[in-house]
Amino acid sequence: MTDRQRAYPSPRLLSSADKLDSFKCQSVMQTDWLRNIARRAHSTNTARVYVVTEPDSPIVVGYYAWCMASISNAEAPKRMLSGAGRYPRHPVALLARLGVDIRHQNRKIGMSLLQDVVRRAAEISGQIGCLGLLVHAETEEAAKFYTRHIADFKQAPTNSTHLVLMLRHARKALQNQPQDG
Amino acid sequence: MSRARTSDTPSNDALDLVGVPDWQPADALVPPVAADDAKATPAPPCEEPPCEHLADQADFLLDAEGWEKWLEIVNSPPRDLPGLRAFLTKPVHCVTE
Repeated sequence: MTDRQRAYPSPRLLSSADKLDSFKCQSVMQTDWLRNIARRAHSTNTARVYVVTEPDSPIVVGYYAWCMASISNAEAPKRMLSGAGRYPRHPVALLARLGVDIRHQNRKIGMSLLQDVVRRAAEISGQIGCLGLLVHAETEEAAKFYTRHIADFKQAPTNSTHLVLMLRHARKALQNQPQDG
Repeated sequence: MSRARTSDTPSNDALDLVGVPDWQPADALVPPVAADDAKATPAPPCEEPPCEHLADQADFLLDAEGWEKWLEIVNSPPRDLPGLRAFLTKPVHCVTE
């Protein structure tokens, strides 16, 4: 890092002071969602939103939003889907949005956001039932972003644009990691 | 996002037990505003759901073939554990230009 460069802060929860109005990423939908829906979804807990801001500024330049979801066997008997007997409904975390402002691309902000959400998902899955991290990639190009960084993302049967990472693999990867110092 | 209320949504009674206000449609709720944020420009009103096809669904029903494929994924070993470990543990330094 040179003297003129400044470090972006790590991803953190969206706060009321954060500025969203100038955010613009390549996807109109991801842009509109952050500007118009994110605060409502965050405050009502239908999703949690994590952001990266400009250094020393409340202006948001990257974000992700996630929530819980479930994958079920549609052909299982109804009594099973309602909870009796075996349980053919699997809980997963759904990474529904991830975007980086076009003026701040190629600075590893997307990578930082992805690392953050996978680490959080791995930690949470050690405390509550959650099998995988399901990602809704908006385009094939977006899907390549995920598989380029994490080869363990696989195409999910839920949707042709969905990828999934098994969180037990992420937990295993984080176990026994070399300690600094 | 997950706008649809399913039968799994807790009842209002259950929510009351943990001090959560009665359930309301998400669009009816106003984001809390901090005291020092009172002069901030309010967020624009939410209009029609702009992202309907983009992960606004959170419950996925699979047919038999899809379920089998899902179970295969669930039970499969990791492809590249060292690569996953490297990605998750490597510090990411994001800096301005």
